[in-house]
Amino acid sequence: MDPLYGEALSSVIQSVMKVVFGLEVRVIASRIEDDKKAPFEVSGIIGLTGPVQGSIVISMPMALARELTARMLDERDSERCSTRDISDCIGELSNIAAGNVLSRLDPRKASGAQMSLPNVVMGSHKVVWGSKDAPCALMLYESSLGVFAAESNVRDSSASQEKEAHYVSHSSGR
Amino acid sequence: MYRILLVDDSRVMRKLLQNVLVSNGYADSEFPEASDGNEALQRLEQFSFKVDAIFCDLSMPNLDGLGFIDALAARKRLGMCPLIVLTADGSQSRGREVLLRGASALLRKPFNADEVSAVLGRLLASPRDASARQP
Repeated sequence: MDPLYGEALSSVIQSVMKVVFGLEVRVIASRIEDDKKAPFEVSGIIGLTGPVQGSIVISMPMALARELTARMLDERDSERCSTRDISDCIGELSNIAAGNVLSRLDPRKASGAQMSLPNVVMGSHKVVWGSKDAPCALMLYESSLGVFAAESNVRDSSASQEKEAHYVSHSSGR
Repeated sequence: MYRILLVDDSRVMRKLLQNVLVSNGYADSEFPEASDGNEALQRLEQFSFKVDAIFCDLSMPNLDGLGFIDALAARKRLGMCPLIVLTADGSQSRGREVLLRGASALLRKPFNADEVSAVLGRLLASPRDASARQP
């Protein structure tokens, strides 16, 4: 995985959380995962296709998702936020984050990349299987409202084409 | 002060758009809301069609964005103010259709705050269709 994707996502998450929710967040852990488990109950998922392929997932506990939604809607009582509100909020957060990540990438690599509509999944013990060619960079963030995670499982297709070309030339050389 | 109608079935999206506009020079504006095209038409009638701009999602239940554009056209109100359509649909043909039907601009979600305010500012500064603004 190009480390730029993880770095771009990390920087975007901090900026988006501050601008949209007025929330300061900081990275408390960052690692490469193989099993791609979205670690919390609520996950917003954006698929990427074209020259940049894979997925970006933002995952958080339901309590934090509810609090963020209440902040966005200026609701004093977070219990007034419906499941639909929470889903829309986390979906839009994922959408904004993925859009910002693409806008920060080298246009020579990212131009023409397409984002899926946001999907929001609720429930624990789920696994979001991404591209098997790209390891999953998992970042854990801490905020005054709780901990959440962002995952980048992204590769650019030029990298896989180079890999295939390398494989072909290597095979034909035998 | 402007009156800017926000039409989207997601109240999160309406609030997000309002926050973007408030943060980008429209803090003293009024933001009536509607959750679909039918409700938007009701709000417009309440205001005797006196609004300065409309942001409208394309995909909504009951009466969607295209239906809302057609309903405005049928009432000869289409050019009364800027109508900015928002969509997460990336297809070029869908975008062309929206503009051909008479929308002033099309913005793709996730929208960029600078782009939203720049497009709205440009459209508010441009001349309107006077006949569509008649009471």
